[in-house]
Amino acid sequence: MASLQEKTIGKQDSDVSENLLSVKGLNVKFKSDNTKVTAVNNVSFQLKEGETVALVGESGSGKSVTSLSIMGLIPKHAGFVDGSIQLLGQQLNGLPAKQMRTIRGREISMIFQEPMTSLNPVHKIGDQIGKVIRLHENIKKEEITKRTIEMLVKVGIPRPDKIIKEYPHQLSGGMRQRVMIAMAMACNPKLLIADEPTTALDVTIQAQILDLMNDLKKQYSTTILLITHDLGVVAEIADRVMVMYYGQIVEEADVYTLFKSPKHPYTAGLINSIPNLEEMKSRLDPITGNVPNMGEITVGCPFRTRCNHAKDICSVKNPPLFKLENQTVRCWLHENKEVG
Amino acid sequence: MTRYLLKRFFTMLITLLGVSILVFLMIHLIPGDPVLNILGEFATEEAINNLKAELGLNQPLYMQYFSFIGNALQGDLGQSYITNLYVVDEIMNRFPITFQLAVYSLIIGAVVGIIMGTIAAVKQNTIFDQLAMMVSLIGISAPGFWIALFLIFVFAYQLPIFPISGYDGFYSLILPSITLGLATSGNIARMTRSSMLEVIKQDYMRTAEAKGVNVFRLIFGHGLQNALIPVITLIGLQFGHLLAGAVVTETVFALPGIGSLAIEAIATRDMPTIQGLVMFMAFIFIVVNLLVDIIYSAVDPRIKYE
Amino acid sequence: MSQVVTESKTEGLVGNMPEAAKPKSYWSLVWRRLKRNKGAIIGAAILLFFIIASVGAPILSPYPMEEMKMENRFIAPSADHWLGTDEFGRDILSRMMYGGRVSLMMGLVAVSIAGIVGVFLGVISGYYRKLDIYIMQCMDILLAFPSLLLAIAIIAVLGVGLTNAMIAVAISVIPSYVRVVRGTVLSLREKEYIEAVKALGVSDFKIILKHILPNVLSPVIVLSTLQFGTSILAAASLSFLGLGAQPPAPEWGAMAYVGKSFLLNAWWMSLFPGLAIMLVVLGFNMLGDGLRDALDPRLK
Repeated sequence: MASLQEKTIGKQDSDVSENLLSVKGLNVKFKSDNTKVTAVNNVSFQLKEGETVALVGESGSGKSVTSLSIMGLIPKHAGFVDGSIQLLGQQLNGLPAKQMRTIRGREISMIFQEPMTSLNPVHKIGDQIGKVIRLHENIKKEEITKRTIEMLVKVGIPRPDKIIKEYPHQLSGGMRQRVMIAMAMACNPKLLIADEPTTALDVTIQAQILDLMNDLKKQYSTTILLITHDLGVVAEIADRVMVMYYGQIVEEADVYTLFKSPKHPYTAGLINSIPNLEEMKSRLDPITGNVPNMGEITVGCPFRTRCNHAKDICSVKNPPLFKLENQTVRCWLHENKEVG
Repeated sequence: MTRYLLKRFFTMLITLLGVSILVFLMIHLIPGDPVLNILGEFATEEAINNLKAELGLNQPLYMQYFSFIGNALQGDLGQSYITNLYVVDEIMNRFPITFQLAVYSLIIGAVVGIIMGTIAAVKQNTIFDQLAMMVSLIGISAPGFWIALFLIFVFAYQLPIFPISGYDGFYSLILPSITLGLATSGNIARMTRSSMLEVIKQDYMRTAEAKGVNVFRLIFGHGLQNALIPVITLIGLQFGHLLAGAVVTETVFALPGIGSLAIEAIATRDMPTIQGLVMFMAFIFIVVNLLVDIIYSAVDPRIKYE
Repeated sequence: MSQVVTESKTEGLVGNMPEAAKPKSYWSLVWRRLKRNKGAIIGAAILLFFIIASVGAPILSPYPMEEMKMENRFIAPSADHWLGTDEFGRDILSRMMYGGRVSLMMGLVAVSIAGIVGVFLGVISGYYRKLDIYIMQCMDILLAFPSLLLAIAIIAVLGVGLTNAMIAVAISVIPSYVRVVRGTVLSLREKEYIEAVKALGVSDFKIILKHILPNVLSPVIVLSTLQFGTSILAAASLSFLGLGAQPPAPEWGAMAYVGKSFLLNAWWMSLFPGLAIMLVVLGFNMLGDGLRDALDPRLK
């Protein structure tokens, strides 16, 4: 818990620094048969330089879609992205494809959940990392090889001069994720989006990868947007947390506040369902039911179907975000506790 | 790798052995006496016996087979009943034309097919996709002789650009190659499309896009190499079918290749030639398939032959 | 009255059963998918057109098939002769309508022979693993010949003619059936319910008949549709090479073969029969693709 405290203090210091990424009123809709289904509903948030923010939610909550729209990777024919996404004041959505490509991999890069399938099986490791550098920087071939090996050393891969000549299938899952991270960090991006970077890995490997990300973050002061469903990962690495449910942000707080006093019943439910050795709870309290399918709920608070505190108003009107002292929350329970 | 190749080579030998027995039996179980075919029905008993001895036909069947195989291994497939020429010589004289025809058609088929298939996959469910798939379906469905006759009618009769028939160098192989190439491109386009559609969905394509790779490089640099892995097998198989398809094409265009040789041999019931030709084509087909397997391993680093 | 009650009872039962256990709804689902597939409908329409034209040839054909009128030789397509006339003044359209019977029959016979033999060998090969190696080695030998070449070699042995061409085509198609059926049977053998039935002491024959064959049906239907077209194409090519149906039989490949000599002054003699072959084969391919998508949506 002490480390959490430190993080909170650190965060207050960085309050002065300006926003690296600013997302305002993001809406993403997908075509489904003849109707449009909303996957992300009016999401706004800011990322400050150097901080690590976790975007938490179950599958289907819209967290991955949010990250893909920041990357500009929502296929045009399938989805509609609305709202404003700004990186250091530069508008990203609506940018011509050519310009967007100069940003992807260089200003913003991304690592994915499945290290086993996220690397191209027919290209050598060295070529795949070198490719990012070659795409974005105009430097000589020997220089690229040198940088590639440096990156592999930094992500803790042994015998990097050998590994660059190997193919992905020759590496383990943890190693492949290290390669993915090396690839993502190769051009020293301002923002790293990590979409469930440890979900597919063994627990011990998970910890190693999280340590690596923490190290790199300190070294490069890269801003990290972590997409995850795993609150354990959040506690380990995040400064600030945003919880998503049914395409909306339902709670936002620094990591200490969130774990100590979650305000949204959903967040509380998520935290209660983590096994806790200290309290030795005899049984966990999982949230009953599943995230409703997109488009299923049109009126009221989408969480009310699984909520123990649901009131009359919950089925009539979707709550706005209420600003409390240390956090914001989208729940009618906190309507009257709002701070100025 | 070497172990795999040895194993593969060994199974190839077994298949070849089977092929040779099959071909040999087929030819020798034929109703009708080849000696009578050669000498005519009014031959004397003595002449018949002499010729039988000369051709080795009075020996038991398995002895005939062993001498056939023994000779074949020494590059002797016997002599034509009709022309008395050595079958091997005849095949080697005519094979270059068929080989060229097959190679040109394969190039046309592969280039057209891969481009059509890739465009169809990238532009899935658009008019481009439907058009490319319609064209390839027609390529598969149209009889080779019909495409050939159509091309002759348009490009040799109506617009006298190409020769109607006969062999006179590269120029006279253009229409035949297009004929065979079109049919081949249909199959390759369909396979490329479905393979490409599968590849486009893969995670590593998204990774490449996240790196900032442009769409063209994404498709051709990252996607196509993966998508072509199953297509390569098909191309290998197509080569065999091109050899067989050459029978029709060579007949229409009157090209002196091994395809038209086969038809001539059947018409004259020239059994040694038929036997030699069928053996030869099956041999080529098997060898090409082995080569394809080797190329396969070069393209897909994941394959480790055990 | 009692009948109504029973009916509603069964309906209730079926409604509670899982999707896979309702054979009737499976096929109606397939039918619904097929109806939505434009390609399959176009393919089926083409085939229907040709089937009606050839089956109804004696009634529908504008001229008697063999009517020769020397004064009518080489008439280009016109109002009297839609597809022109040949070197003996015979009406091409009428001959083609009769020829369709030959072509469709060749395809039907070839697919039936290959289907029966191929399914039999495939089931044996997939179910009795001891025989598998031998059967598959034989199939490998057959597959070592490109299929048209195999057909030509068989004709070289059996002799030229329509029947022999059908047999030759059928033999060259057998390996594809064996491979498809064997693959399906192999995957079925691993399923728990087959193991369970085996453990109950049900005879192999019954297992094959009741549990294996019904599952082999879908892939065999798809394969047969596609092979129907391929067989017609191969048989027509053989006829065109002079190895199958012999002129003056009104078979399409043979007609094209005769027409080849008159290509310059009477293109319609060879190009129309060839076009008919293409359309029929196209029809089978489109219907076959549609059937495959409808029967196994995972493939799409």
